[in-house]
Amino acid sequence: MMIRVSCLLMNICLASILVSAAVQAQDRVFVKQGAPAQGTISELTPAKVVIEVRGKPQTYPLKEVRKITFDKEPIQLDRARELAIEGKYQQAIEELRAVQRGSIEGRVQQDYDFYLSYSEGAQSLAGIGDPRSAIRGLMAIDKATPNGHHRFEVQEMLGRLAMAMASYDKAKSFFEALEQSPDATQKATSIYHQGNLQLTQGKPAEAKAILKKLIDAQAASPEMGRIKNMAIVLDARCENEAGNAKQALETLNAMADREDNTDMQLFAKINNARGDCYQKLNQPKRAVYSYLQTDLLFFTDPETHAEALFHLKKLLVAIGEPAKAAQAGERLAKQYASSVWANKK
Amino acid sequence: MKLMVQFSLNRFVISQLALLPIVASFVLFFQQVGQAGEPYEKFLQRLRDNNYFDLALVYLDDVQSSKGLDPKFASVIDLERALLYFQAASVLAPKSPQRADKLGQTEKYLRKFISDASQHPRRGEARLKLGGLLRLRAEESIALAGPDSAEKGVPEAVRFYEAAHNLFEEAITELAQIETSLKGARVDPQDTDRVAFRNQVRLDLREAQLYSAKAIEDRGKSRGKEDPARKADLEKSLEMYGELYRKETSLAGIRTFALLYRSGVQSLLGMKEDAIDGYQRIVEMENVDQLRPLQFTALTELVQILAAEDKFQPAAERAESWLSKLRPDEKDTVEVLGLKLAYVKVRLAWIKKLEGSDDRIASRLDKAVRSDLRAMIRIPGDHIEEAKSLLASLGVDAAQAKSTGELPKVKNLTEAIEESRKRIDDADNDSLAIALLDEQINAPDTLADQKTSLTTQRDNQQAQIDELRNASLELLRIGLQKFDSKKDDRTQLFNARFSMAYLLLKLKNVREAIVVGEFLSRTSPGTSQGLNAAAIVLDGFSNLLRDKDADFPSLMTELAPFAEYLVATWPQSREAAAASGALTQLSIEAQDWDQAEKYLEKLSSSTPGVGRQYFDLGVALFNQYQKQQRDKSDEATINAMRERSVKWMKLAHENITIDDTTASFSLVATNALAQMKLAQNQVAEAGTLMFTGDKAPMNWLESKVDKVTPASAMDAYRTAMRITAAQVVDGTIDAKAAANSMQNYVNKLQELGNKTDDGRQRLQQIFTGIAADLKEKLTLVKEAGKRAELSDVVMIVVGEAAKSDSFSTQNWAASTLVSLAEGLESGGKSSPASQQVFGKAQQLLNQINQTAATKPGWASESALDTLQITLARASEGTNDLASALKAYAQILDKNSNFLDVQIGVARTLQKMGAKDANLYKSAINGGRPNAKKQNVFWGWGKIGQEASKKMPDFAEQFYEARYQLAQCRMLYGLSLQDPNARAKELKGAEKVLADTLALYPGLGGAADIQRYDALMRLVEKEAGK
Repeated sequence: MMIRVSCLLMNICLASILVSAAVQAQDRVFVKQGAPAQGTISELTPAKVVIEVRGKPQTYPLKEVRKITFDKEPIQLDRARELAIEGKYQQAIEELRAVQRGSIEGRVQQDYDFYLSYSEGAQSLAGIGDPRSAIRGLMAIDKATPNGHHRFEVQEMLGRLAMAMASYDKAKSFFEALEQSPDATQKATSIYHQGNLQLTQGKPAEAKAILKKLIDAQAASPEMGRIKNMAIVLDARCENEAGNAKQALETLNAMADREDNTDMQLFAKINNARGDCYQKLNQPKRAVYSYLQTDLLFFTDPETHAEALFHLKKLLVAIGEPAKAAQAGERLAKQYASSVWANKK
Repeated sequence: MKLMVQFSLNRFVISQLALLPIVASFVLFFQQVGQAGEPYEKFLQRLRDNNYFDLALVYLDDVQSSKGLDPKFASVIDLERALLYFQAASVLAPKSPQRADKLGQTEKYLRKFISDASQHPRRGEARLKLGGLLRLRAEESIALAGPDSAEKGVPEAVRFYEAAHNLFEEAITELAQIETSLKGARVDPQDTDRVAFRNQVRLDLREAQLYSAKAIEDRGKSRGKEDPARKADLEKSLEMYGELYRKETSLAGIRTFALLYRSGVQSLLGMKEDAIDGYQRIVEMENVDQLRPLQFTALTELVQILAAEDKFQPAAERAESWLSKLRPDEKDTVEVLGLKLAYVKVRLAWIKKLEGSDDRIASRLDKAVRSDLRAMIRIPGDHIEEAKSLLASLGVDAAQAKSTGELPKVKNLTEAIEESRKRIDDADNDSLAIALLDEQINAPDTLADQKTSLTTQRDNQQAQIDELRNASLELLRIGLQKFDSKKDDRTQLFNARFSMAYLLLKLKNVREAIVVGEFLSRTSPGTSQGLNAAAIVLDGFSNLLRDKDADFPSLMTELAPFAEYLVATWPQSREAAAASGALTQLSIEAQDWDQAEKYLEKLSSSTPGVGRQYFDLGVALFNQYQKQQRDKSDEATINAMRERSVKWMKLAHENITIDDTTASFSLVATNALAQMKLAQNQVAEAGTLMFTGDKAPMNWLESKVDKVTPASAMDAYRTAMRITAAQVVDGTIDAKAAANSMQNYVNKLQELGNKTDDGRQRLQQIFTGIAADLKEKLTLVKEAGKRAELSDVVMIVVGEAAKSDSFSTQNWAASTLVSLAEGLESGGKSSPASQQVFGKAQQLLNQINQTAATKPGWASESALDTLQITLARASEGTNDLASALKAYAQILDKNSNFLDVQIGVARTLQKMGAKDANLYKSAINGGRPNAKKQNVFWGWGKIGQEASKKMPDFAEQFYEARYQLAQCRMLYGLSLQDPNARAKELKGAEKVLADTLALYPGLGGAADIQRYDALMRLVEKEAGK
């Protein structure tokens, strides 16, 4: 009886493994809304994916796709994919490191390379790790699969990394390449980055001219609305740089009253921009509380958090809080060691 | 002590009662998620949590009128403001003037809120806070009145307590009414807001009752000892506490406080047994974690009562049993420190009792008490003064205790290291603040009085750090004395000594640090520990060398054997590189190249940082090489020095990985190396260095241009341009590609030139030098097409040089263009390419004339005269002969003795003769008579005569004049219709040639003889011979 029970259990386990294997042995397209499509991917471009579902091709524009998984891919890859989508890049890298790259090939390997380099890039933007490794990886991907489905994500990340390394001409070319995307959101993102690039180079008028087309456009989707909001913040920073700090503050305060405060990154940007304005107006206490909003409430985005800590490190001394300034400096150095802000004088 | 307990209890009550608001704010947080707008309240709370009270007040003022403010929050702004003022006051010293002001503001806003918000649910809370404030002020009055006031009482405090009591009573009346309206079925259990409000009201009511009783108790205690109202107040409070304790069954905190206070009053009134019973009950309560601070307070009182009854042993045992089981977060709390002090006093009293009867126990107790008091002095807080005084009463000077007595008692070396490490860490952490303060002090926008204040802060901070380090050092010394070679680990011994060396260095006892560090390093060869110790030694030497009075040679002599030891022991270490680097520098300064090379050769090429040293030596040798060139030393010496420099520069180039820190010197090294290769005409090698691979500056410079100096970047682009020009001549790149590259470099140079004050001047020097170089290269190119292409390259550079504001640079550019155009004339005849370049020169020269006219003093008159010659030559080159003649005339009208100008005039007139043959006569005989009827234009005839007078210096001009004279006569003759006149001129031409040949048969060389012969044959042919 015992034997029969254990045999039965074994069979059940075997069956479940077989069922699971049968389900896994397919490519899948997970759309943002609706059930995933399973089958064999026949075409994968920067704009769309075509998957043969029971012999019938189904086409999905990539902007409607959340993620794509491939037949026979290691489970760690999909876990890493999910983690990367959620912004948990360090965990994604750890998952991917557990996979032997030599054991995978084709699209699976390409996807592995992408998520690894992309996550490394995102980490380095957060001040953790070496950006050069990410750049090498992403450049290799761009060269090997110029028409891959991650093409525009690669361009954006390369642009951001180049910008972080002050290679502005290169950043510009990557962002311009991103503008070629058929996805309106990616196009808008490209414009945002191009504006930011100009501002970073001390050209607020040029930045404003670029951002204008984004600000004037109708936001047709929540994502577009979000990018538009980011552009408005950036536009206010341009105003501030151009000497109109008060006007910029009016814009930013109105946004802070109007927008959804669960968008941590947006609010961090608003507050950092307000801090900049108050600095221009020589109001250090107000500047400090603006940056503190980022530090104490909206600290999830590493780039904006590092920026806030950088300013706090300096300004807290000015308002008579050297010990807190030292703490801010220490946190900046520890949390975001290789970020632009930690290494800025 | 009493005051301390009261403060602590107040804090505890506040923290307990704050529980509900915390819950409320949590609810609020979740309500805010997904809501639009700035989370004002949440941020305010965060500021408060992080002790940014003053900032929070600024923020509150700013957001008060915000449209997005929640009306609920807007209605409590004054209350929030009052609380913030109170919290800001709480962190200030009692005697701080700012504290009084802040407390005044607290009262003002609390009263305003109570008066304005008659129906507000938080009105009760505001009353409690105001009451609390009044009590605090009363306590401060007592503190200010001093210890002698206990006899007579403190009337001001009595008044404050009276006001507080009245306020609490008003609150009780109001809250009791509200509580009644919320009782039982009047509140729907599902209505969570309403239920929460009822709970809050109940808590506020009980708290008001407790504080009202406390105000009465404290009023009584503030009265004079003989005042009959004193006892009446105490008895009344006893009654109030008793009632509260009996009736309140659900709020454990309130009930326990009532019991604690009641026991205190009972003790005062001599009801010791009742008091002991009350305290005992509190101490024995179980599973009441949140009430542990109260238990410590009750135990403290209990221990003191027992001691007062000479029950020392049970008192000490009770205290000891609690103190031995402290939780980590309790050790430094006010309540625990209070208990520790009480425990000390119990033992002191016990020692006194034991004196003469049991000295052994007394001695043990004495030792323990001293140890405990020393440990307590190290913990910041109000207890320190009393602890010091108790220690002093034991016969130990408090000041001495501070330096040595504050140190914890360590049993062995491990403990000493551990305690020392804590202080080192604290000191290092505090040093971060010093760095920031320094930054601020040195900031250009810091005002003078800010600087003074910051400097004081800095000095205080530094004193604190030094104190920590001294204590740490002392601990290590004590620990080392306790080292037991049989029991202790030798690693610990090393660690202690290493820490000592580190501390000595930090405390500027540099010499001692070096001695300890060197000992450790030499006794641990090859280990990472030994290397760390070496780092301290090097740091020490570095400190000594930085001293303005440092005796470099003797210090370096001292360092040399240790550096050699390092290089031999850890050849690949940074420390070895640093040591050898220092010695190399010394040798370089002494110009002892052999010694410097010897040091470097000992290092492994994989040693981190060695590239930099190779570079330093390479540069020094390169400078020496350039000096030898200037001094015109013998060629072999120069070449040998160049080769030595090349060797080290090459090693530097190979060893450097380009990053932000190495970019600067890598650029200089590679550039110098490329320049030396160019000097040896090794163009391909120079090109590889500058253009090929990751280390080639032209592949990385753009991305790291902010990591190098503008001057070195400009020098690199100059070298790149020179290499490019040389590559065109070598034919390894085509001129079009070179022109593109040059344009790119020019753009980069322009960007860099704008970055510094002297950038533009440097830029013009570079363009001038490059153009001269290119012009020289042009002479090497024979093929016409290629020459034209290369001239395009030159034009780019010259064109950029011409953008200078300087007259001399513009003049130079124009002259260069003219000579470039002359080079493009094919056999002295104009070509489209030469005309184009002449045209550019003419344009530039006219522009210079215009600028000179509008800017007096910009150019000297003589320079402008010379400029006219160049302009005439340019005009001539574009076949604008009338302009050319006009320009020449301007010069010769002032002074006709310029032979070259006269030649230019004659040549121009000769060219004009092609259209008007009469002008040949002018070319021959001159013209333009002046006031003295003398010809300003000499013509070829007089030019020849004048030149002949100064032979052989002007031989070239003489032969030219004679040749052209003959040609003009021939051409003029050929233009004539009359055969006789024609023959006469041809004969004259023949004679000029023949006479010249007779007198000077060799002429100016073969080329001259050839052209004379050719002309002679032509003349003869035309003459029909």
